[in-house]
Amino acid sequence: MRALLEKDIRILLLRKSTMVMFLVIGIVFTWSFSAYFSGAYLTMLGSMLAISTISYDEADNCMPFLFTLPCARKQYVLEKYLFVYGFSFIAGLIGLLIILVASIAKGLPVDVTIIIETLASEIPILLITGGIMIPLQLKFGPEKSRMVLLAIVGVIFVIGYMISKSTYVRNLMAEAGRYMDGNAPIRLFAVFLVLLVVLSVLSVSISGKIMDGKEY
Amino acid sequence: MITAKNVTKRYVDFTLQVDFEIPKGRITGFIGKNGAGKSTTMKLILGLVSPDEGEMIVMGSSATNLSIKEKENIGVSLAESGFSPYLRIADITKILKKAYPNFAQEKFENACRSMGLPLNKPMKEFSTGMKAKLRVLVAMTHEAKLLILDEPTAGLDVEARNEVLDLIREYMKEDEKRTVLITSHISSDLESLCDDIYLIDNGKIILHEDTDVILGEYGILKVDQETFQKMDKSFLAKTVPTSFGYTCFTKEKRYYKDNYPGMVIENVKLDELILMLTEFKKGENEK
Repeated sequence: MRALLEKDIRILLLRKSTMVMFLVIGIVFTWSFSAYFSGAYLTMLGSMLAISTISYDEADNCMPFLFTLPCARKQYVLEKYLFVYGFSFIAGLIGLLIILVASIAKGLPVDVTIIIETLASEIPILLITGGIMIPLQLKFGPEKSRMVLLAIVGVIFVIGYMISKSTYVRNLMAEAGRYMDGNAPIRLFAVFLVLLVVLSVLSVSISGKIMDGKEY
Repeated sequence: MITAKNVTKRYVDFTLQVDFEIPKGRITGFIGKNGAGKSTTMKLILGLVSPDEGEMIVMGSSATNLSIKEKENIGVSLAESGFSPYLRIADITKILKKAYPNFAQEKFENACRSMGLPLNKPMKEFSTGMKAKLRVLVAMTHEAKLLILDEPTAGLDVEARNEVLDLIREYMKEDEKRTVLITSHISSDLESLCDDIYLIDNGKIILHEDTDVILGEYGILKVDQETFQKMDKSFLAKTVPTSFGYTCFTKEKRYYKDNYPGMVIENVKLDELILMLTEFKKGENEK
């Protein structure tokens, strides 16, 4: 697995200029427009960059050779999740650092709530890019997976819209809101974290099955 | 080292059925036309595809279930697959160092330099020959006990082919217990390299023989109509009618040399062997 991590780091380093560009945009937007912009923004772009290593593996038919290296298919899957989550987390931390520096420089109040809110806002991004995109990309490849993701987002939106029309769900949401009130950021963070762990375990298991069934 | 027990792999328009045993310490060649099933056989050995029936055993374990330790002992060069071409040799050196505990970094880098492979240039800028040499070097610089080379000389000019073949010879010289499995549709490459040869055609092994026997005892007889009618045909494996009479393939060249002194008897080259055993379908007489 160490070799695969090394490979992905090397591939990511090929895109140094893109990373610097994203970082500069994050700093400029955080400074000029929204004090909290760079947290979610850098997490999302970090995830996308990390996931793009799957495209590099698939381009030029690299996969068959990679699976002749001393690593099992399950290790390949685990490594992808570790890499995507790890790199996204680091990108998110850099985003948080930018937010804190910008807040201090602008004289805005800085407390632990900002940190928790920023980290909580990054988890749904990890869920979508890591938890959903990795199995989709492994199953359908880079091009088709984008179409499938759009379709999934569309279906989720339609279901969400229909559910939101239900009186029962509205009451439930209002109840959840009251429960969150007061300690909202911490509870939201905890809920997101549990969701991330549960869905990631499920996602890793699905990805493992996808890779086990693949022939090269 | 490798055992294929009644292995069958089915695709929509192609079925591979093989049964063979490759012992330690040999260079074994798989020859055959494009699409004959050579690469599928290699993929089965490497666990990249699973057999529909039968079992492929590599170093005592099922090919689809090789442990990390066992994979560390296998060096692989695939015809159309390798590291991302956007990486440089300097990058893959670091990857190989982490992948294989026995990776000889200095030896690898020196070999790259001596073969004119730049360490800091993206591999996508390499020529076909440079890529082929690199693939073979990657396969053989971590003390692998089993080397699997799928079409290592495809698309190369004579000079580059010889360089790659020399690399393999050097590799075997270092340790005679090593095993090399090599496929090629350029069969002349394998004549001077392999201990034994498997000929695959249409998904089946149609011949397995020591290279020395093929080159020394197999022969092509070129006979006119009259001689053909009179001659002993007991040892003819295949007969093909031609404009001058018949071209016959025999596994007993010496018998015809001894008994028919005036007969035109040519040594068999592997290319001719493939042609004789797989190409002629019309008017042939197979025994």
